[in-house]
Amino acid sequence: MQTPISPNIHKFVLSESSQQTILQEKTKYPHPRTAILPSLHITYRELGYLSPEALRDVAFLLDFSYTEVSEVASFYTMFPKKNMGKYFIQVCTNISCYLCGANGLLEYLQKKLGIKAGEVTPDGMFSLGTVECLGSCGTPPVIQINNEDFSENLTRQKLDQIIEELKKKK
Amino acid sequence: MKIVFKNIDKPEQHQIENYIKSGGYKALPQALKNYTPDQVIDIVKKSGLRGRGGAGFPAGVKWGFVPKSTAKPKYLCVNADESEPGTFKDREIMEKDPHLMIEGAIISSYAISAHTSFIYIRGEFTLAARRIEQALKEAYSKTFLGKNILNSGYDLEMYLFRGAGAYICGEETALLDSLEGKRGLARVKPPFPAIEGLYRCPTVVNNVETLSNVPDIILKGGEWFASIGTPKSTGTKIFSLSGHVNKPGNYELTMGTPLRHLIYDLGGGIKGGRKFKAAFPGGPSVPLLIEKHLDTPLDFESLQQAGSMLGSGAVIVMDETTCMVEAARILVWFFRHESCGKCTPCREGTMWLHQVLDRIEDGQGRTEDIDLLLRISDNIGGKTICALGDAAIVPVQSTIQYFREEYEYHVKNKKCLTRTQAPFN
Amino acid sequence: MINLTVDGKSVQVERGKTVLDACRKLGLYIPTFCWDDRLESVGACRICLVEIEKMPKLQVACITPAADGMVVYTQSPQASLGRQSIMELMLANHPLDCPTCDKGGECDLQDVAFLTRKDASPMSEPRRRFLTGPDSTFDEKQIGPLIYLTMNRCIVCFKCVRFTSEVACEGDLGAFERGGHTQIASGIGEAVKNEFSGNIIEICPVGALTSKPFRYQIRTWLANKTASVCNFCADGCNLTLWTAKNKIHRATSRRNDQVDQGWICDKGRFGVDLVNHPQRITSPLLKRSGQKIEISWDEAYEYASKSFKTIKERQGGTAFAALGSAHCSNEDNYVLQKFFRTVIGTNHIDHRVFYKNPLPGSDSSKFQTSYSMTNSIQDIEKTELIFVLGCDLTVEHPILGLRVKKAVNKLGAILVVANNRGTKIGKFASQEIIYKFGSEVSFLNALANQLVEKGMVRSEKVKIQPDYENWLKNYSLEKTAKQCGINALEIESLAKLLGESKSCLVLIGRDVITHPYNQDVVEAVLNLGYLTGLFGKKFSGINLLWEYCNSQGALDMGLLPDRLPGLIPLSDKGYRAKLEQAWNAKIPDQPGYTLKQILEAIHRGEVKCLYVLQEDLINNYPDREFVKTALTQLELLVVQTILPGELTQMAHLVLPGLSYAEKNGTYTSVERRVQKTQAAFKPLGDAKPDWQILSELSLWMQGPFVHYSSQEITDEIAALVPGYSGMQYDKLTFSGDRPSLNGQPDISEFQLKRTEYRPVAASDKYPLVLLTGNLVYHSGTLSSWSSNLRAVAQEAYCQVSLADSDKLEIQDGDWLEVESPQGRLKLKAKITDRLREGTIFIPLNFPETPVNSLMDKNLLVDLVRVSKLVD
Repeated sequence: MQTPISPNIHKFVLSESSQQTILQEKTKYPHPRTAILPSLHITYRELGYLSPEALRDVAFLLDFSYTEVSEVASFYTMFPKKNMGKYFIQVCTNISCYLCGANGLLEYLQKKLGIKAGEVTPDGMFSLGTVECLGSCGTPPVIQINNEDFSENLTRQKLDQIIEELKKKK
Repeated sequence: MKIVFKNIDKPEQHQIENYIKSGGYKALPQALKNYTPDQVIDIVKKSGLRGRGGAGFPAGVKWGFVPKSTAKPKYLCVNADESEPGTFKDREIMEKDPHLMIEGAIISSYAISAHTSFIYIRGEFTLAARRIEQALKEAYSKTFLGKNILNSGYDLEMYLFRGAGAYICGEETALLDSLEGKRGLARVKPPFPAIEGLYRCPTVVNNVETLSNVPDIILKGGEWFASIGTPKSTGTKIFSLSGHVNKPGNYELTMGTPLRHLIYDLGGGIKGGRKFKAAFPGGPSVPLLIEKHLDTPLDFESLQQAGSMLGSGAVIVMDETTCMVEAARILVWFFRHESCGKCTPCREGTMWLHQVLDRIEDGQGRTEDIDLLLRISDNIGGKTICALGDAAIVPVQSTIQYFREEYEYHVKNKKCLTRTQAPFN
Repeated sequence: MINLTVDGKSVQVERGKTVLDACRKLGLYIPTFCWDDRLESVGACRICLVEIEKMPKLQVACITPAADGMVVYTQSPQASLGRQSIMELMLANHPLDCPTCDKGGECDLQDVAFLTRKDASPMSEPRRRFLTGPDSTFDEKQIGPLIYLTMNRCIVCFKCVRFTSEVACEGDLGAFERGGHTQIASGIGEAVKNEFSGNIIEICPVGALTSKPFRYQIRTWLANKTASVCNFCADGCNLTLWTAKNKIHRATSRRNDQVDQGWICDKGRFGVDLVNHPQRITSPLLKRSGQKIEISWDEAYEYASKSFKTIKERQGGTAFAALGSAHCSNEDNYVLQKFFRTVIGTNHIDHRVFYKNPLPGSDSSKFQTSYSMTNSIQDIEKTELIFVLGCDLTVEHPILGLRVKKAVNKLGAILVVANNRGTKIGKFASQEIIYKFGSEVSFLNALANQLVEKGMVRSEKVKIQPDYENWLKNYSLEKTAKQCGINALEIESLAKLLGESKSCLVLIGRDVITHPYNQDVVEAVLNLGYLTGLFGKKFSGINLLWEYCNSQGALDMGLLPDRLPGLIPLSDKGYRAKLEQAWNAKIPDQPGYTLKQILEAIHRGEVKCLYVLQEDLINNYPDREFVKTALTQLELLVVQTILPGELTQMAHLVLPGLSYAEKNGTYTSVERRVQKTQAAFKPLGDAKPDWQILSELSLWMQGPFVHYSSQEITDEIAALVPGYSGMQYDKLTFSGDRPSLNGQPDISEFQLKRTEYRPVAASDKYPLVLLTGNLVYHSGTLSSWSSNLRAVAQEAYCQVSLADSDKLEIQDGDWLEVESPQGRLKLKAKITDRLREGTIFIPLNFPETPVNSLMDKNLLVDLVRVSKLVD
């Protein structure tokens, strides 16, 4: 498949570079279908969530139907399917973190940001979600922001610091 | 006795120069030059190495199931989808000593004559993924991977494949479905992956910790490994200690070390000097141990005798302030959330169990609910495609078995018998 | 073989079979939901639990391999308890919709609940509901034009998704989310649009997927069931018609493993509503002073016979012409040609209304080289190489398409598809060749040249004359690659496959049948068949696929101007004498006119009367203008049909025939399988079986024959028509029989023909070649009367190639004017990268946009120009 592709055939939301990377994944594995999950990672990295249009791009590039790609995407909970603001904060609420104050952490965050889990702040900066065990049980409680490296061993002070820094980042 | 964690605290151990300096990549040339694939399998069989991910199946035996005469390509998959609550041992290996896992995986691929291997890592482990990507690049550059490894004539491609938030993909057949680009649904066995696995080809799936033991086994011999631990649980095991202990973390122990030693000597005892109530010795998929079990040796057989299992080795300690009904609810919610939904009992049953537990915890329980929970658990148990269904009922059955009075208190008084919300300061 | 014991009885099964197979072999009933013998077992529902000795847990019978010495208990207390556990969980969230659920009476869940005595669950939590709140259970979603999904009822057996991806090989239905929230759906904004979507309604074990047209029509146990055969394409799928009070409520599959394996396409399933269309003609109509008035049969016969006699006495029998129908039964067609040959005395008989230059009928005694399907449908799954030439297989023959997909995906067959445009089946091919329009002969000769040049002609019996070999050298790789507009490598690799495959099945379709030099193309293919030794080899052969449900039968019944029944040439004196004796009448010995010649003769005044049986001449003949002007010149136009249209408006006399659902008859499918239909209910109104109308006309004309039942006619056909001997209506099984082919063909008489490539050129004024074809939902005029099918295929469009769209600056969705010397049409543009530059494609059969108004019968190729409409 040669890019660029005529807009009469398909209109992309993904960048040219992401399109190229996805096409490379397509021929990398013994079967092209294996490239679906890596392509979702590439899409998430660029857009921050998996929109229906982005999934249509992936389907077109990998030569699967939109239904096939989006049913796979819907199975995996790591990728948000709608815009979760600039910083999507996921709080682990499974057993080990629960035993070490995760509920308190979640309540604190909800109060601090003024939203509940699943919601986005009115200014679009922060959103909250609960998540299952992140494998950070030795350093609880823990949050993961935008699916990047964890913030562990949290205290109120540390959490305040993190939020402040994110607010400054803009 | 440290095997896997031998070099774990050395600075920058994840870089290949340091790994080689500390004795790494010596087992690989030895395996390729001195042993045939079958001989490698024999050595590992002799070592008695059992799967460290939770199933405990002898690794060498599993490798032996791969058919020798087949035109189909063979695959090795490293199961790095560590998602069992309380488990974080593989994460430490991958972040701090990824080459140990990689070397083990290369030797194992050689043993089953695979030329393509995948490392399936859970999507949330971002640092580990970066470290592994880098480590793979380094390994390729030094011809430990790729075509004609170390001039031995053996080719191996190794890919890092990132998951995206599904505990079920740690189950080997669901992992294979996920690798194939599908929804991660568990498959019925038979056919077993060693016969029909990835893309219907013979495949072996091994845990990170299991493979990380292989280099030393090759270098020091199967008998050496078998001499450590107990006769049926050889070698060491990394236990992930978490919960109400002072010093949570990963501890590599010789198989057969008593639970009390882990919690009190290494783990610093219970926080605030409080009383031990119960612990999951191998993650919430295995039954609880209570105070009378504190001296149980941590190995496959002893734990089974105590009515539990080794599982992943995630020791989650709960003290006297824990409400067991709430703990059960949190864990059943976990299994409900992670159920793949393919088979009827797990899909419908975990939902139902959680709904009943919700009611009990929220003060709307009925007396018959406790027996109802056990009834639903009986309906599910033993009838599911994979072990998630059997795991989901464990928190329910185990907490009712040892702490039935808490359930009855909930129903009668519409509140917890004991609960202090863990503080967040 | 494996020996095991089930419930105390011994049974033997082959290696690789499951415990369920063993149970079924013993005739034991094991409940199943997610198991289907045509799909891969997944062991998802867990209801088929059985107890097996030495195995601690209950095992799932549908996926546990049978092993030697196994001892299985299906009814033990353990096994029964296990099933009750599963039922309890399955019913936990399932709503009690039975009173209003369409599936009632044929619901697996109802049946298994009854069997396990498990009718309820001690589940008192709020039940899972997908769309609405816990008080309502009736929340449904339309997931396709004709299908409702009631997700609350779904037991997540995945059969619908598995069918869609494994059998139909489509990707428009999936399972979303996971765990208890698993939802069957299409992607956002998508719908289930594949042509096999109706099958998911049938295989759904509960009422989660229901048919929109069937909603609230009738309870399944109150309907009558009649075995029948689909009336659309030639595949001949077996149906069951569900009727009550003279109405067809629905059609379901009547599984025939030799033909359809239990699947039917949506056209056949949902198109049955046309039979009960309110505008059905149910009484004879006569044109008087510009109006159509209803008359009695006696009046109709009197008028007809008087008019026939007048014209015959004045001008003779050759002033008459008759058109038979590829949609009518063999009995109808046989009587039609018998009537016109014996009572009227004419050979101006045809039925091929869709084609400008139809292929001639060929001698049926040389079946293997005749223009027909020579293999059986099942051969598709057994052959090594499948070569689809000039055929949009999934549109023209959906069920054959399924077989090809299965052969390629599951059975290791190689598929090569070659056509002048990209087709859906091409996506499954390891090689898809899209050649220039009209270049088939060059392409095929090039393949033949490769075979000869590279010494790949395998059979010693093949005799290649040196002058043929020399002539073939003209079709060198480079030259032909240029003529066809393709890569030389594509020809080379296909030739290699043809030369090396142990078996090869060639499927030829509409784009060859309507080719300007169609006979040349077929001869070139036959040459290839000879050179590769395909004739007579197992699972190999050349197959020309006729399109409509009784196209093959129409040929076989002699609806041709120069052929008698059995495709015996009119010139065969011996056979003609045999027929004359059996019919007790003379048959005219001069060959008659083809349809084109008939129409020209009407213009000249030579033919005065045309009798049309159930074909829509005006909408289907590829020159609308010419047909219409011809018809106005007729002295007598008699149309015997079931639905009105422009043709019946122009007719002097309209006689109401019957649909296939109202009469007994036999139909010959594409693989030459003769299958019978049965009347599902009495004729509507005053309509009569078509054969009976002609038989009564014969009586009124003091003709030499009369028939009292269609069985009688079937028996006469069996007695007189070669290839149909032994086909007696009562003895014909409900899965049909294939008339025997005459053994191995005698290829010693085969002559390699030197068919030259003749290019077709476009003109400057009209630079684009007009390609046409059917849609899978819309393959003729009949389907346009089905409101179900119109709900799916709503309007026509004009497909434009990417290159042409750039040149003409057309965007997807623009309105276009398509103009030819004959006429013009307004259509919406659909840009595609599946068409070659210089071609456009417009689907036929939409009455609002009649493509045949752009066509000219005298032109080999229809050329058009396209411009964007600006307003």
